[in-house]
Amino acid sequence: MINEQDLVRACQRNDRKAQTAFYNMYKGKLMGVCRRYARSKEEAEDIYQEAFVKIFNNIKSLEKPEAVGAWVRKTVIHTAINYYHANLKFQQNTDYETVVLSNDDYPNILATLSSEDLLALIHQLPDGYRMVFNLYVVDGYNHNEIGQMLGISENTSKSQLSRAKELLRKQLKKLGIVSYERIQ
Amino acid sequence: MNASNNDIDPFEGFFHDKFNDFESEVDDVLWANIEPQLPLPSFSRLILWHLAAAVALLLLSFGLLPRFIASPTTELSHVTTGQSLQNEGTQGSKTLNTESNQGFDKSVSNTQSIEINAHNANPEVAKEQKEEGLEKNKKANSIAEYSTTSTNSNIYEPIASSNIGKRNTTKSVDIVSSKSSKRARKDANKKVIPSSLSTEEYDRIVRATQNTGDYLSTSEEALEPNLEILASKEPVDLSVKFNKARIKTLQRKPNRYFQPSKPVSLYFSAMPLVNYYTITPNGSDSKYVHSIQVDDDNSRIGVYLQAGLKFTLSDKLQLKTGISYTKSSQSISFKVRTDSLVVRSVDNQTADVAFEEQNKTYALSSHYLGTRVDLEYTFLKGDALSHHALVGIEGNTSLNGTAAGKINSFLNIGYGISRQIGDNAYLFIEPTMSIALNHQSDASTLLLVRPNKIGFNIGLNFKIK
Repeated sequence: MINEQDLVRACQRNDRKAQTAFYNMYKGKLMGVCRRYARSKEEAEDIYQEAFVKIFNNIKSLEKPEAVGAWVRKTVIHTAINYYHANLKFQQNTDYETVVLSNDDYPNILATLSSEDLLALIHQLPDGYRMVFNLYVVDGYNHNEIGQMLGISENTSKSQLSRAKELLRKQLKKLGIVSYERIQ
Repeated sequence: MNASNNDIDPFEGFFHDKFNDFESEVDDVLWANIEPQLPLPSFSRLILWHLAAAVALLLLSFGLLPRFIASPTTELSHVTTGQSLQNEGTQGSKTLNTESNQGFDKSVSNTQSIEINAHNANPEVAKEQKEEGLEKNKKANSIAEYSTTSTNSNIYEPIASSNIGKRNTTKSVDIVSSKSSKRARKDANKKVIPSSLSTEEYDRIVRATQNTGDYLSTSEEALEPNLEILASKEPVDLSVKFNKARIKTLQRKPNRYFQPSKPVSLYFSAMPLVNYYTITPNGSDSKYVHSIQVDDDNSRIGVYLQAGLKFTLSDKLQLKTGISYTKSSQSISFKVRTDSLVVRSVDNQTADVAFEEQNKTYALSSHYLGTRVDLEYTFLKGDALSHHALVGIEGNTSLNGTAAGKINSFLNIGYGISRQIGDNAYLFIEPTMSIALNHQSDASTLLLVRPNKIGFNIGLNFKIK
């Protein structure tokens, strides 16, 4: 079986079969990243396509094939940020109070909340909040890096994260969730 | 990135764990959309370059084709001349008034001369010499396979020339030998020793004519005009006759290796250049990248060196091909709009709100190595100067930077003037414009840059052939 590094090297030679295998290897994960950063599934698909084209066009410049996982994720995140910048003027803040979850089982909601349900909550965040929340909480960037990536100050990043968390907490509270424990 | 996820609050940890490895289903249609946009496999690019090389080779072949076409024609004419002269020689041997045969075997002529001598000297000795000569003739003919056989056949039986090249030496040798002996006897009967010469003097002259040179002494016909001259009573300057024959021989042997050929030149040139850029934002980045400016300092200046060969295709058309080296720099500044709002107080009652903008600079200094093929058309050729136009393509690759290994292509257009400065040396100046056919920026950068060039090419051509 071909390993990941050999696959990367084959992709660097633009081997079409390797590109297909590489795509199949990462398609689920990268679509997950796109879904988090985008407002809708359609937007996520746009970002996803643009990101994959960039990945295959620039995979030659990848000097360490062993770090390909982090590299593709980073590429998708940067593509999502570019998309966010490009569509800034068309964005509108969503009324957060309109969010309605399908799950009504409040007492056990934390256990039954799927990623898709949580994603629906995140999608309802204002764009700037959503970007900062994803970058900081899920992808592990610090505020300084987020500031550079989004073109905002570090303090703006901090305040936007704080507000995003507050909005999410409120919404989760409505669903009966008031405490959070990390999954072991 | 964050140093650790252990010190984050449970709320963040909850979302991190939920989404860190989150995967989502992907519609198969997306791959169908992505696949056509992927870069071509390397071998496809190679095929493109091979095609370009094949076109260049084809053009080169067209240039050299006339030469190769001319060569067989010359050879044919050469062969034809030889055959016609052989035929003339054959006829001449009958009429006793013609040029000698170049390809005739030495042993045959020796045998003939022996026969002649034998006939005119002592009959018994002559008989022995004749038999000996015929024996030599047989041996020589059997050794000399095609050429001797065909030549002999051609001499005595021109119609049989169609048998040239067939390995029927045994039969033909016998036929030729018997015919040659008959012929020798017949011819010898016709020979008349001039009354003013004794037999010995006659023999001495014959031997002298045999030693005159390869051409005249090795054929039967070489002897006959001399014998004719000797037989005639009119005073003839033998040396004049032989010199004429020698001159003709020299003329009849054109050396194919010294045929005039199309000139080939070696060229070197250097070109200071000025880069001018066509810059566009990369894809969707156009909405927040603006105020793009090229820094107008010395960074626009570069240098371009090239060397190669110039092949003459026709009087006015030449093909240039060679390698090139380019050193260029670029520095571009632009502004990126961010989503941070900047509020400025205009006066006590109003405030101006705008997006914050960041100034960025994209600077790059690159070295490129490439190859180019150009067609040069000379449209005006004067005594001192000649004017030409040039068009061609160039492919190069960056030796450094993030775009290293990426192939860039250019269309080169130029106008030039050249002047001869030595026996084989020409100086040329050639204002050239080089138009980039693809952008050079990395796709992950914000800008797409086409680094076009304008330069003043100065170089030397040396004719090497």
